[in-house]
Amino acid sequence: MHDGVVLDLPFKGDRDYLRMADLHPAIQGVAQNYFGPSAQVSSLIVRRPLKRAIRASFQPVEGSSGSFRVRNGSESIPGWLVETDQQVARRVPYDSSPISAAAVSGPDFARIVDPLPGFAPFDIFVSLVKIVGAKRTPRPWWLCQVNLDTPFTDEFPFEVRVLHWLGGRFAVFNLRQADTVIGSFRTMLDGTSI
Amino acid sequence: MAQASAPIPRRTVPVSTAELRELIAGIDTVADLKKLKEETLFQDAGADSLDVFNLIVAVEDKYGIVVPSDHLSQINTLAKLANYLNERVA
Repeated sequence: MHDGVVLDLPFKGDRDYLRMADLHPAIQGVAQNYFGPSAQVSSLIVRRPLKRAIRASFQPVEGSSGSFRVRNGSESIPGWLVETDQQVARRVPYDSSPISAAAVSGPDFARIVDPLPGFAPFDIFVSLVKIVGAKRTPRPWWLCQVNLDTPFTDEFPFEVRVLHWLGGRFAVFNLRQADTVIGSFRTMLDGTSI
Repeated sequence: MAQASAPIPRRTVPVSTAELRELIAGIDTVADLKKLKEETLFQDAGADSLDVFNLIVAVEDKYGIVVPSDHLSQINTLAKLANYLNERVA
C-alpha cells in the first residue's frame, strides 16, 4: 500500500462533500484488509470538506486533508487522507428524516431509544449531533473529528450528549450506546476559523 | 462545559509551557507543535482551528476550567496560555 488506496465513495443526497459516515467504514475496510480483521479505525480527522476522491495512505503526506489512526492490538498506526484529482463520480439518495423523527432531544442531548432499520450506527450518531447543534444555531455544523474507544454495535439506545461548547463554534459530544460511552464526535461551525 | 468526575484541586506550582507541550503531544495536530516556541503564534506554527480548539478542550479537561468565547482569541501562544491558566488555577 505504498501509494495508498483510492476510496470509492459517492456524494450522498444534496451534499457536495464526502461524509464522515461513509469515510469511516471505507477506511475501516482498508485497515482490515491491510492489518487483519481485528484492526479498528479509532480516530478520524477531516480538516476541510472533501470534494474529490480520497486516497488513504499509511505513508506520511505533507498537506494532507485529514488523518486517521488504526488500533491493532497494542499498536496505534497513523494514516493520512489525500484529495486526489479524481472527481467523485457517483451520487446516491440519502434521507435522514426518519432519524430526526424518531429522536427525543433536549438542549444538550439527543437520543434514539428503539432500533431504526436501514441506518448504520454512524449515520444515526451524525443525525443526533446535528439535532443538538441546530438547537444552538441554524448554521450548519461540520463533523471534523471522530474518536472511538470501541467499535459501534447495534445496541440501543443511542445517545449524544454535549461535553464542551467552545466559543459557540466548536462542540464535543459523547457518544453512548446502551448507556456506555463508546467515543466522541467533534464538530465545528461551517467556515469557522479562530 | 468541561465536566469532571471529581473536583480538580488548586495547584501549588505554576503551569509551565513544558507541561503544556506534554498536553499538546497527546493531540493529533496538523503541524508538529512539540517544539513550539513560547511566543510563536499557534497559527504561525501551522496549527489550524481544529488544533487550537482541541488544545483548549484538553486544557479545560485537565485544569477544570471553562474558557469563555471572548477569551479564545487572546490565547494564541503557549506563553499566553500558561499565563492565562496561572491567573485562574495556580
